[in-house]
Amino acid sequence: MRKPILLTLMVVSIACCSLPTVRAQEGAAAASQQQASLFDLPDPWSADLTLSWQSLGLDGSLQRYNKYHVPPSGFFVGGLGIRATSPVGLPFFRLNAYDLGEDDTGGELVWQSVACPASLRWSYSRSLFFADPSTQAAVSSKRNDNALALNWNLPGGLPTVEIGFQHQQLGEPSLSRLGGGLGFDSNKWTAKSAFPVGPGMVTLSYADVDFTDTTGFLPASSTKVYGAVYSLELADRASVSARWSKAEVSQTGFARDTETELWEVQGRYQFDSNLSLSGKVGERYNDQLNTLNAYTQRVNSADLRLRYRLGAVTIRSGVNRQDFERVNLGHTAVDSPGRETTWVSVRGHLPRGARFAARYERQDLDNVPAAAIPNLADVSPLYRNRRDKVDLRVSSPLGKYAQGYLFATRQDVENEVRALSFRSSTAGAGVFTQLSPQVSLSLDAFTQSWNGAAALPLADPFGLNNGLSTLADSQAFTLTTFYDIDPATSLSVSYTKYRGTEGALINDYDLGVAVRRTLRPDLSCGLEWRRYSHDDNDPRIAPAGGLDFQSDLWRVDLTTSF
Amino acid sequence: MGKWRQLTIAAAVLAVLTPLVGILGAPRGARAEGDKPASPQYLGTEACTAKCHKKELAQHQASIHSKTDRDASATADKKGCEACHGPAGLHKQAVDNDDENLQMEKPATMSSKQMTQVCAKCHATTVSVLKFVDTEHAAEGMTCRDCHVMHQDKPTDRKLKQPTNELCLSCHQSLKVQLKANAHHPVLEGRLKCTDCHNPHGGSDPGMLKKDIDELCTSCHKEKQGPFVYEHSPNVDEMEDGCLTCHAPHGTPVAKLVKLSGRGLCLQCHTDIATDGRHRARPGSCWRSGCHIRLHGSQTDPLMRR
Repeated sequence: MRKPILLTLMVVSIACCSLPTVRAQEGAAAASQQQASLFDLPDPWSADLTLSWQSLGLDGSLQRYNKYHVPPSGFFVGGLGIRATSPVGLPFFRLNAYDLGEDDTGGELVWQSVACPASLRWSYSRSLFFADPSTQAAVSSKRNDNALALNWNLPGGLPTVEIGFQHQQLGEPSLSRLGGGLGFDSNKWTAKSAFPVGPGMVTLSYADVDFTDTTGFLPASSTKVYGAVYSLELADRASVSARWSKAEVSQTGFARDTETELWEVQGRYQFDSNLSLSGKVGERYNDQLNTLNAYTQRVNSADLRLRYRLGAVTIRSGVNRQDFERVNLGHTAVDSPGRETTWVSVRGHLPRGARFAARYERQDLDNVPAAAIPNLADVSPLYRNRRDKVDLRVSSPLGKYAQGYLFATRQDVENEVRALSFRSSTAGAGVFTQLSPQVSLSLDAFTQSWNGAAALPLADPFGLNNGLSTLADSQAFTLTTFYDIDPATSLSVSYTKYRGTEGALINDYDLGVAVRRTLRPDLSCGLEWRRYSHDDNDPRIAPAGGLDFQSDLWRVDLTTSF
Repeated sequence: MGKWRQLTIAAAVLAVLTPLVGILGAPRGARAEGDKPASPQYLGTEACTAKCHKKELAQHQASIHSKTDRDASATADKKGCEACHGPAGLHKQAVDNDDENLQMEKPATMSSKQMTQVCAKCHATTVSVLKFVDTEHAAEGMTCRDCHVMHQDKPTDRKLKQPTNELCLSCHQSLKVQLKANAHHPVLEGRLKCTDCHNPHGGSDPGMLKKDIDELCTSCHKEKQGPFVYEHSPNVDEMEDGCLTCHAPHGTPVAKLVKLSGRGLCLQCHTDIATDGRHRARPGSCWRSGCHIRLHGSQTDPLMRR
């Protein structure tokens, strides 16, 4: 009963906001009538409609092609945008929708009250896809997301109120290894209010989430989350914020609730424009009475950060400490390992407009139990006890009409007890250049590799992984160019090459050419051709190449404004 | 753990006392002025645009920001031109006196912090100075104007210069190619926005994430949230990186956005199993082989096999 009441309240709220709208608009229009003639106000209503036709030209695996979404084919409404303004030009309504009536569709609506500070947002999306493409016949997965939010700044110094509703549905019946696959249906109601107290601001929040597992694997649950935040800034130098939240999860068939409580206090002090210090302490306590194996019961954390500006260079550094209380498998003992992270970053400006950024981070675990039995006792030392991460970035103008960037990231992970270590390295570079007033070009390249050592059987010596390496590298390259042929016509060409060594070798490319021409100020058309090729040589796919595809997509768009 | 509790309580007490000190310690005059809905120095949008800023009025009226002029409850410092540019009284005097110092705030030349302070006057629930100044965006010298337009109205949501994903990727160019990897979140397909996970206004963590990573992931992948009778924690959730222990969210070569191929993913922690005879008998990844199919948690089996 509660939800219809809340929904009714939202509708009534909107209606209340709307009532004085006409009168306020008239008043505002009259007040500005003298000036209105000086200005070219937008049309009260305007709309953009895109009519599209698309041919997918698919040859190969439909499931892999539709892994993320099902693109429309044939004739369809590619886009609809409606925008409304008040008599004085204030935009108060906007609707954008895409692929209306198709398998994958969605849109959003934003409504702003003219007379009172309230707004309403609604968004919807529906997607069909194949989460787990296979060479066997399968039913497509489906996801629906619906979200509604009302925001109202109540008059007379009363609080700001936000009421939200979210409905999510997921169905992935084709995940055969899970029996019934995956699926859920969830409703979430939220209420949030912010109001000043003394020199600061209090924010109170409440959320109520219903969850139903449509496959019957998990019990239905109801989660209630209460939250409060107080934050204030003093004298433009210091700020303090305190946060508390509590979540209670009630699951069908379990007599006891699972509870999580969080406390957090943070502050910041700015000594002068160049030096500031910020810190945070917090505690999270989990009471998982229905969990029968090990879990983390408590986490205490402290964080300290320093920021110092020295001329054109900003130096930031910090240290973070987390102490854990982990309950063992039988809930008979608690261990207390800790994790410490220290980091420093430097960023600044170089001559000729160039910029750089460098960051180093190190994580260490301590106080970990020396030994335990893997699998049977979850406090076993399966951890990576040391991690180092380095990130370097440089960007710079290249001549008068170009901009380039370079970055490199390396992460080393070690488990000293088990003599395990591996490294991931990522590097990338790119350039954007305006070759002429009509032509621009951008290039981006990216590579990622993994290297391992010691105990990890990377080359799969035991045949555990179908003879495939357990480390997957990847490279990607994109090129995009735009050419304004004349003021009414533009041409774009894009090419993406992706190569990955997951299993054996993935070789993808995507080549597209698109032309767009403005026929009249209120009418434009577009023509696009795109070839997308996917080639997966993973030997685990049967029959071999069963997930490969190539598509030659043609698309025509006609967009009119009225 | 006693010291942690004491530290937290002390911090909480400090947080409660500080505003009290602020209230009691504030000069009476200042408080009185703060309570006033309007200051004599504020002249209003009509005064600003009647003779001088006529062109700006057209833009202003066609912008959602002009809604503040119609809000009877808004105080003068949160209305129209003066909400961002400051009280116009001194500015008018300066103009009348041909003073070179025009006595007007110019957000276009403000620092990250200054501009955030201006915008947060009205958008306090969206952005807080406390959070923004510690972000990588602020460290880059970015201000609200780098992403949002102030005067004009745009067909995009929230007065963004471009649609969200285009805007983010115009700077974070290296992510464009990651989002085309063999496995990726469907951002370029239009099913997700960067802001579904990231908060460009706050959060000082490197990723500028909206929430704690596990909470964030399970806000969409709710079936993995639990609580389960048999959890994969505590090694994954706390001492590692939660969901990021196994997954790389932007894109990876491997299906399901996992970092390592096949059972290599599991072996990064479960190294003891690499030479375990029982586990050598069945090829394939630990979950696709039909054994540990409930990796995220199980209701009936501590080894997550059903």
